[in-house]
Amino acid sequence: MKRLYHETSVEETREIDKALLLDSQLQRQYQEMAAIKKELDEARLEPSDATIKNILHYAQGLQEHS
Amino acid sequence: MLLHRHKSRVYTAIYLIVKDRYVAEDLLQDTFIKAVNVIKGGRYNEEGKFLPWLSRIAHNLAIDHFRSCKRHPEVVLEDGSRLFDSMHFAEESFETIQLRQDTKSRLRTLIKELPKEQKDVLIMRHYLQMSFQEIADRTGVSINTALGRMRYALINLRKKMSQNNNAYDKNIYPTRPDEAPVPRNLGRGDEGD
Repeated sequence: MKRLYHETSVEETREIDKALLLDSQLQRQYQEMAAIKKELDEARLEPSDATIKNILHYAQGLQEHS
Repeated sequence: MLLHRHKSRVYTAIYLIVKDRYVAEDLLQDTFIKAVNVIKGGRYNEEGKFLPWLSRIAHNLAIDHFRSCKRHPEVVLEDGSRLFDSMHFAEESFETIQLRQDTKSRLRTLIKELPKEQKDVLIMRHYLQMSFQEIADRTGVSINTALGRMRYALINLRKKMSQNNNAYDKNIYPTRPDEAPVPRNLGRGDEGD
């Protein structure tokens, strides 16, 4: 999990990558996890333009008053 | 700039907690307004850690809302819209509604169905981009527990997605017993678990 989310040190990354190369089952599991992680990224939602405009207007209003 | 970079992740995380797109819009607005107030007030001191800080604000607001909703429940449909907002769908056929459910929305539905502990870790790590250590500290568990929950969350999603894909295919291509198709994804889904 830590490798998948880039939380490993250089040394840990090297060790894990070596293990992935030597163990095809581990490699398959990792690839499946990476695939679902990618799908999670693609499942992101976008807020409406109106909401974004409201936030920007608020920030601009504060800037003008200061 | 910061708003455009983080809006989608933060909005998705809030939505997955409150399960209502309108409330998620409001809470996203509240999150950024709070952040803007702190920054403009000169009280921002989280140098270089903007997203984790913003994530904490969003998470707190979403959890507060979720708790208050438990006391005053509202009818919200699976896609996050409210009951009355969907009245115009009533004239659409079942097939049209089914087709509307694409992979992305099915995945979001599956996330919402995960056990709470797994869903919380997944939202915090994937969408709010907190580290596993931060999640462990925030939820009062060890880092290994947080890592384990994330692993089970991804395994469960993968399993449910492949089950769902099979069911989805059957809906599109209904078959009679004498016309059983050759599975297109032979070997996928239930191997190795």
